[in-house]
Amino acid sequence: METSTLLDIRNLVVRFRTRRGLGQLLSDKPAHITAVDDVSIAIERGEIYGLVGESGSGKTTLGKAILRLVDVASGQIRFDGHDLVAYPERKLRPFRRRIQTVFQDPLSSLNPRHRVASAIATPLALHQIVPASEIDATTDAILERVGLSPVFRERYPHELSGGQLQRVAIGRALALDPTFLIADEAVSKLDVSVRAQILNLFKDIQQTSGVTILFITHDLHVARYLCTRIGVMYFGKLVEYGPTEQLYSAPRHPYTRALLSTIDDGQSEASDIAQEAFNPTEDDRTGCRFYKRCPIRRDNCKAAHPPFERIGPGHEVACYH
Amino acid sequence: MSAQTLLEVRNLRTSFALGETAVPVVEGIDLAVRRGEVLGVIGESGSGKTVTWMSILRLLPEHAEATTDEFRFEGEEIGGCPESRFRDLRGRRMAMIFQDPVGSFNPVKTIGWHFREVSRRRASDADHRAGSSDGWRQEATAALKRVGIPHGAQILRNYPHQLSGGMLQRALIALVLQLQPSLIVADEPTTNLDNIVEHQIIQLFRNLKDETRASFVFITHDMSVAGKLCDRIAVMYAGQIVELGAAEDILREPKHPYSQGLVRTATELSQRVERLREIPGELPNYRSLPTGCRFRTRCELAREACSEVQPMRALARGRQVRCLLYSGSGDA
Repeated sequence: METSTLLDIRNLVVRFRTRRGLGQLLSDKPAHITAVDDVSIAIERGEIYGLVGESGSGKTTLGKAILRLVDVASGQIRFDGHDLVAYPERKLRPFRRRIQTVFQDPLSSLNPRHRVASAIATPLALHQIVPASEIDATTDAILERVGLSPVFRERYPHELSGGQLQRVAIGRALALDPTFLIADEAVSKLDVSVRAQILNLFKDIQQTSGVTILFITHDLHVARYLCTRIGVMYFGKLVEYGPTEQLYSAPRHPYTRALLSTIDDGQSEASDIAQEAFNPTEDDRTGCRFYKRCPIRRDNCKAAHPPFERIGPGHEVACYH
Repeated sequence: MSAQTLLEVRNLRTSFALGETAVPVVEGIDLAVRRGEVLGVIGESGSGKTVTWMSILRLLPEHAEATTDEFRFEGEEIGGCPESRFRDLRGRRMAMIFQDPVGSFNPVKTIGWHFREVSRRRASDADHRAGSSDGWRQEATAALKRVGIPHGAQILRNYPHQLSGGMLQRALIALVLQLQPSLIVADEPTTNLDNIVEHQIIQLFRNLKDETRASFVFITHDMSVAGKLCDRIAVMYAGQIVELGAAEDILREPKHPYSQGLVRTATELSQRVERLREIPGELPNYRSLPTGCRFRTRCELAREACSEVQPMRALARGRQVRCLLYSGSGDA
């Protein structure tokens, strides 16, 4: 049975080891950092879900965990009813086709010695998406779909501009007709005049194919333009989420408020936020993660990270205030 | 050159050697920086904005060559001055802040060491506080406080890698201010920083602009950042300035079709439109630039006459634009 939720992440925890061997034995500090810390997110079919946060907030790690590119410490990643965390590598293979990614730097995800046509045709052949006789025609159709003429077939990645490369990367992801697309800072490196083109391309693709997209970005304008719902991450935790317009018009978490005030010319709550004077450590994981920088912190914020509280339809915030 | 002008460059051209040939990149730049102003230089990557300022500060790599018809700084023509004299000026009167502050610090020396070096240089200069050997520490702590670092004494003991990107950028700004330069060129100083820290650093630049007498050149690709900070803006495209004027004028009513596109995208993104209007195409390659207006291959308003060389035209309120749609006086 098909439910409206495509991806259901429950209590996901991802840890990275930071100390090994003797260093770990001699230090009394924890030997790991928790990059994703008990995060639950449900992504609906056909939506563009935006995940925003600063560098180091865990948003990229969360994307990688969905693909099982990093080890999951605990929690569930239910994709279309299947718990990907519990599956062995062999059973993951069909999902590697259905879940595709587009990264920030397309040059590093394309083989420099393969022409554009082969970058798109190889996955088509490998996964037997179309019969061998139709691969050429399908490749052309995909190029056209991402706004590239057939002359690009014979080009090498280094001959393309940033915008053209990102189009190829998007085309290759679409070649496999995925149900779910993870775009990680996919427009961040692009120039202003090209960024609008690629943002519109993502919008068109979503509308014509119905693919569900997880759009990871630090750019609040971009998230607002593209996404139906948005989750805000801070230091491994999801701190607030809700429908885009609701979140932007009535942000509740002090971190979200500060973040949004940076794109607003009016009053600026970002000025009240303590500077990043510390590198968060595992010791800061007891109370609210935002405690040290929060302008409205109280003593009880220190004891435990606040649970989510509903403040509007589909809008929840993890803050005691 | 009026007394209010700190720096003036006429007809700056920069080319890069590519094998046997020299590819012209930056062409026909006429630019003046007024005393105490913040001049924003806006453009996409590859537009020549960094190359322009690297040329002016003589920081170009060896395979690049820059020439000017005129280059006046603090009332003195320095276009042809010897390297040693220019180096001296660059250390004391002009300074540059880069996108990545890490590269501006010596990684094996503490932050304090850098401040002491700067202080020493100034002391040997004018017998400035030559007597007090520990005065630099107080000065440094005060300078750090000014850029929003209250616990300066502790920071001075740190090594560059121990500070976050935002902190290190603040420390670098404090260090540069210690030189008391009259010109500070900041090249995308907030691009690598997170939103909130970026906002705070721009706030800091705003305060410094009021507190110091220095002029700032702020190089950025971000229209909204420039709007928050700059008095005047120069928009660059494919190695040329295409529009120059007061920041509020350009943001409110951009004249050049390219500036119009940039401002439109920024405005539409902040207002959440249904669909963004695009600027078609991409920056042209410098080896095969269009003749005449370099933007014409992407311009919706292009006509035949655009293939002729377009001079900057002077409009009202000090605005200049390189586009034939406007009938100002040519050769501004």
